[in-house]
Amino acid sequence: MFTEIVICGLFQFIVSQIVHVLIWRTFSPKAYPIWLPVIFIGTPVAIFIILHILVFIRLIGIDLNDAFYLTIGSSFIMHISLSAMYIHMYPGIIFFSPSLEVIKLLAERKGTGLSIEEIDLPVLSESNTIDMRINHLIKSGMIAENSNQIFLTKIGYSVAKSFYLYRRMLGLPGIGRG
Amino acid sequence: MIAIVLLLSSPLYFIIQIILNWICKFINISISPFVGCFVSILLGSTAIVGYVLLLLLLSDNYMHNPLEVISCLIFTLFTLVGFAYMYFATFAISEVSLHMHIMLMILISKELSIEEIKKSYSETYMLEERLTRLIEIGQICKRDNLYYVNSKLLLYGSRIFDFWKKLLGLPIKLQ
Repeated sequence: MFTEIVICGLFQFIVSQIVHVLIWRTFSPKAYPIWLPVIFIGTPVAIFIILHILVFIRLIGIDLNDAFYLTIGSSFIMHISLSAMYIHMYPGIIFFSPSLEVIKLLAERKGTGLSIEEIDLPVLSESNTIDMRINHLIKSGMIAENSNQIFLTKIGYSVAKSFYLYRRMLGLPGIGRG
Repeated sequence: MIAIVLLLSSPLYFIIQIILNWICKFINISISPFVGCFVSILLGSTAIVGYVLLLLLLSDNYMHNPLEVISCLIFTLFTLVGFAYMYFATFAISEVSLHMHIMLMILISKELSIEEIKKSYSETYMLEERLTRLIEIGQICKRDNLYYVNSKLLLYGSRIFDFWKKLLGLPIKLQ
């Protein structure tokens, strides 16, 4: 049974990734927080529906019993875990991480090393850091601006408070080092 | 049963990290937040994999079928890696994400001007924080005021990210 679960889970994930690459290469949507969950949840659901249609019109013969649904359910958990990992990683992949840009810059210098003054990263410029993030937060409804003052919206307050409490429960300062 | 245990992995990591952090505070040992998170994930995952192995050993059905045992372990590892990464990424958002940092600053101060936010986030401050963090996790080192690559782990990771960006038709250099 576990063999079928692993194969089904990997199949769902790989097909979802193929759909993701095809859509991105076609029109590269900006609203990835909406598109990615739709693709990675919608694709296995579509496969599930198509499978049932094929069974009902007798094109394929699969016994739709409890063991089958248990296999599908468990494989879906594996797929969701891998998909959630990918969706979490996605902003780190597409946005330019200052830490990774530092590593790449140091690696280009091979053995010669760089002083802090020599490390010049466009990704750390104001337009690529604060300005971009403030625009993102305003567009996503987390913060609002009024006469050059920024404040949290109701949703932003809930999200920020959750993370603040999470950190305090871990015994850490309410705000990280950034 | 295994699927249920795997679904409970994130709460387990959270509880272990709480206990670990409070123990370190009590015995006056300072650990980097990321190290604490990583150790919690390692301990939690070891416990879960150990539990799965115990279930397999006690099950007559699976022990006679090596393929099922291997498949079960692969299923456990794939699912566990996904949930472990999700937990780590959630913690990382709270620790390093600039979006979250800005929101937490506003939460504490009630409201802030854009200029005040920019003062806290100078280019130098952000670079120094990242260099300190990269030294703490062993990726770079500092000798005679010069920084060098110490480990190629994140470098290989960045190359995989660049490959994936190319596959998605996205730029690999900041424009």
